[in-house]
Amino acid sequence: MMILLILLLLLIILMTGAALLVVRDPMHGAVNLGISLLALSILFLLLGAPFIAALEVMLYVGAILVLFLFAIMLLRSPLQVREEARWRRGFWWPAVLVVLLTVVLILLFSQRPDLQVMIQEIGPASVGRALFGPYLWLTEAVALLLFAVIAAVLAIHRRDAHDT
Amino acid sequence: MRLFLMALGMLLTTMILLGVAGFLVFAERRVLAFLQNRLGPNRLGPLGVGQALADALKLMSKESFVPDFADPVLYRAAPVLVAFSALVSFAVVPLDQHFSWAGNWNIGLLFILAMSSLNAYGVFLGGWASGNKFSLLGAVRAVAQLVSYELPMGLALLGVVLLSGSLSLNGIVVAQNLPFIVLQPLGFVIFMIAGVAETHRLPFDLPEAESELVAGFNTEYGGMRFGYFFLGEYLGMTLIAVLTALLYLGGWHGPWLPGWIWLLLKTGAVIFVFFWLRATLPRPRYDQLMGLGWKVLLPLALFNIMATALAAALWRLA
Repeated sequence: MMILLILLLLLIILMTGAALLVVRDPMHGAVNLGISLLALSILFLLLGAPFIAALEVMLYVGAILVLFLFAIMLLRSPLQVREEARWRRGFWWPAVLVVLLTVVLILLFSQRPDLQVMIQEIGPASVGRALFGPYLWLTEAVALLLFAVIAAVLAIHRRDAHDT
Repeated sequence: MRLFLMALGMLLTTMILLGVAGFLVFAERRVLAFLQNRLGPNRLGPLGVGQALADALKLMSKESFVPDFADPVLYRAAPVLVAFSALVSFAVVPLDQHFSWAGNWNIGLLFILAMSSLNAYGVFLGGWASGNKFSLLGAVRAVAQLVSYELPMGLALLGVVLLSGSLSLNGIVVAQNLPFIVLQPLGFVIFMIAGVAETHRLPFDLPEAESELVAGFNTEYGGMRFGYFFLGEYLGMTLIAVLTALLYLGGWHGPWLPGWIWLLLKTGAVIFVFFWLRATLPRPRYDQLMGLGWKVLLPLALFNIMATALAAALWRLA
């Protein structure tokens, strides 16, 4: 039962990933990416990582994808018909990767029909303990990096006297 | 059998929630009328309660159409997404310590935040898929508002999580011997303001803004699809109200009456504040809304969480 659900989710991820390559409208691409991320989040949940699953939706779907949407909306006018080649040059390498991933998936599950999913649930508390215990310095380093990024954004966005 | 009972229970919960949302539409009209010295809808049934049913019937009997210039799939999916994400969030809301679907889930609060970002997607996709420039402007505003207010809201909630040491709503309520509004007054104010903005309620209903954007993201919607958006908005308001009651007002704690009645009373009081805000405050300009989010609420929320952490650390030392 569990394995069927996981397979279904993997299929959704692969299909939406493949759909990203063929849809014409960038907005449809973004929606496909969103569905793929949601399926990934449910996969995390099933595999015993509820905290990561929630963060996946909050950060990736709720924040990063939103930035993509912003870019798409600000760059293109809404819903106009665009004639574009369906098979663009950027299509091939990702397509090969999708096919490879599908093959690996099929091989993996056909080689080991007895594949047991060992699930140990990692709650938010243990994630927190790990982040602020053994990985404290790494966390602080990431924080410093983000701080530098904020400073850089502010510097780029600073209005000079002649701008105003 | 167990599965069947569960499905039945879910159906019942959904029906009750939809009923509450429908009733709130009517209640809002009556309360607004009362605050503005009018009568409001008072003809159908006792005190006009039947008006909610009549509105629902009207919306259901209308034609359900897709405009020619809209993106058909996303146009259909968006309203469902709005209502769905608001409904699902209620799964982690406990009515009492032992009465909830998933009140003990250890990521309950995060789940609600995640669903609220999905909710904004519904509004956004609906506005975009309508293929109308007013709708698109509404959608852009919805997304910008989401990004600006989700952050202070999350940070304000972190204060509560710090104090209670739990992410499950049950755990948070159990930890409140003293309602957290006393310990987190700043966090409470930030959460309320961000909550109003998250649900696109007046005075922060800029994605909708009838007077400037002719209803914004739902300009092209009619019939029950419009009804879904409406239900989603009122369910979202109920959710924020019940969260406020659970996180800051002590949840089901209270003397004499049984717990769930206390929770409902507190929720009702917060919902009344929502109505009151709508009747009192004018809509701010868009840049003012953004400025409030980024320049006032975010620093205040950061200050709040630092102060809370310091106080908690000192408390532990003492």
